[in-house]
Amino acid sequence: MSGRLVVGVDIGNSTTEACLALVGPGGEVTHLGTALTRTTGVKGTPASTEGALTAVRRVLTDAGRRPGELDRVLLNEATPVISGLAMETITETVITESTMIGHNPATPGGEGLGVGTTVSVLDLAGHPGDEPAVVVVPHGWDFDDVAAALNTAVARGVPVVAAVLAGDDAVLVTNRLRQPIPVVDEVSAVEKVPLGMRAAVEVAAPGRTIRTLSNTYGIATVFDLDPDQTRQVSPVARALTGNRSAVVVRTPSGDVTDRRIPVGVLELRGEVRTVKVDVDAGAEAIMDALARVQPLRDAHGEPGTHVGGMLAAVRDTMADTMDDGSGGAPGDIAIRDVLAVDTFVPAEVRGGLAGEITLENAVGLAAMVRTSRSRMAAVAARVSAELGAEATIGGVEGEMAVLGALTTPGTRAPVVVVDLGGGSTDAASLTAEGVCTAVHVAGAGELVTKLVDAELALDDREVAELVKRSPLAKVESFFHVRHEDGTVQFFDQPLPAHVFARVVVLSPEGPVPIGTRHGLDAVRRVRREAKRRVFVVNTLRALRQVAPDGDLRRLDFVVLLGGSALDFEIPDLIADALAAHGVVCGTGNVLGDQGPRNAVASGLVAAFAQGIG
Amino acid sequence: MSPRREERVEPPAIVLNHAPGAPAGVLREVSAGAEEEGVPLRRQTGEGEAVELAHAAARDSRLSVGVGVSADGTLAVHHAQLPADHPALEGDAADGRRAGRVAARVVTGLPLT
Repeated sequence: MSGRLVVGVDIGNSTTEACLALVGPGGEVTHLGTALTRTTGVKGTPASTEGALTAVRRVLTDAGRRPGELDRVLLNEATPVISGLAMETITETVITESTMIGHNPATPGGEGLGVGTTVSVLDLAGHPGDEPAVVVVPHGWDFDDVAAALNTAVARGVPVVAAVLAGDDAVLVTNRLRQPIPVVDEVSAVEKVPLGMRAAVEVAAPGRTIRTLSNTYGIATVFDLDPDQTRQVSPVARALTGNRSAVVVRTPSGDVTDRRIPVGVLELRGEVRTVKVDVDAGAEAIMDALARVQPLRDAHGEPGTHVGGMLAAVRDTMADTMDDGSGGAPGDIAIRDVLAVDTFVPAEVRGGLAGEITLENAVGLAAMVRTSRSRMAAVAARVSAELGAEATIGGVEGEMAVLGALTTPGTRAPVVVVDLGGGSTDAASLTAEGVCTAVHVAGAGELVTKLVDAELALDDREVAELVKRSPLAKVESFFHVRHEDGTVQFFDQPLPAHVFARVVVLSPEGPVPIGTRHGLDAVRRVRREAKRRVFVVNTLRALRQVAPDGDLRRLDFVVLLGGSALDFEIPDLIADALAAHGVVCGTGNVLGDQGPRNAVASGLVAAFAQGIG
Repeated sequence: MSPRREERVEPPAIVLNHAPGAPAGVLREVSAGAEEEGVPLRRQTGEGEAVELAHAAARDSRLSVGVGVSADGTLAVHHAQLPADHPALEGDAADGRRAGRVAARVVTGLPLT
């Protein structure tokens, strides 16, 4: 047996992959197997040795080989690229003096518009008979008692025009009234409703939305406002748009304000110039500024602001993971790319009476940090000591990925590979002349998860990750679900009650409910938009940097690699976007059977074999 | 007169099946829970534990949904398609309003909580 047993090991951001092969004296390669495991620690740091050893031992066991037979371990020169994420809300809605209630309870009572003066149900007996009353009912009142109190007042001649309840009783109360009125319920902070003030309560018929209180001039008509006051209530009308029910109280200086939160200034230092941009100007302004300073040397946030804190945190994380105990300052850690994404975050309205939620604007930022220091030598030394085989660091990650990708049937140079990872999106191009260039841009799978988590207000990273990974379904009965494409699936065992009528992700452990009021279509739109804004945008950004003269039409083959290339829709979204440029784009199939996995590990073996042959 | 018009068809409703001695307060709350959600409910009496009462009620209901309340106020919500020992909800006397709401939401196809 004259062949040499070698194993290529790729330590990536989230997975470590190994490729075992026998390389003959003429450089001919016989592949014996591949393995995949989770990366331990941060890639390129000594902590990642453990994962590398696991992958090597696993592939050896699967192939029936012993570590002693191993001739060489080939490690990649891991690009020390780590990305950090942050999200900052840039708008805030504040209600002052309890001007409105717009939480949209599931079951309001009655319908129509009632305008009168707010009065507590406790004081109803003393209310003058000529003044229309909007009755406010605190916690602890039974629906029969409320209905009786209102009926008594009406019998006495008081025009009761509407009611605002603390409990979930609106329909019950309305059903017991002799004269139907609009009733809004589930107002948790009902004690804060100002009494003795003019107020309007509107409930629309089932399936409809309110027409008067969502219209600025409707509110102006109801409260007899002059043009200046009308201008002031316009945000109230906007906040109530789309609701089935609402309450507006006219207080002397009550207001709903939609203010922008100063988040700070981002300073982008390029090769030739430095540009400062306000983060609350939004993603488009940030990306425009970034385009003007390309290539980026470093980015800084104004100290003491949100963005300053965020970039400092990314830098500190990088400094910690790269700290080798030598006490070296993290000064050589530079932020080399930033991706800004506009997003909407549902947030509770400050000053709201019933837990109202509005969609606030936010900016998501992914920053990519690069350091001059690599610690792969330490990893190689430990791998070598553990396995008793020589370990060498060979090749730049991008070049190795291209070599691996070229084992995909139907590809040839010139080719561009796009590695859709967890933290960064990387592109590497190989020209027909054999020149290789690689670029890394910030933002990938983890940013998608974060966007999904924030926009659906899940506050649960695990569920957000599931939403990202799998198609949705709606539980339609105890025994069947309808998938997002309309297909129906029946089950032998009843589905648990807590998923009934919910939008779910079908995980291997069973259906997981998504804690949101949104319907299936809305969740699906959020998921696809998050993927498009990160992966499609980043793929185009990366490809423009490696394409000849930045012209995508001059690219021939684009091969998608990495964990996110296994996603059920990301490759399609990218292919759709690239089709317009006449590019051949598809998911790689390394060695003809590995799919988009194992490209770098296979590339390492191929490079080693070329060195022999 | 056609024979069909003489057949008295029960209007669709959730069936609340309770032991003769079930606490009136619990029954009132169950009824209120269904009424707030806008789903009709009718009462009948039966013998047995809450889950049995609920399953029998679900089979009697044209909406296939039943609530059972035993003499001590223990209650259950059931659907006719579910296995007899697998109710949609089990609770005690304090859960009356919730039981009525859950029963109504099984009918209307809204999340139960």
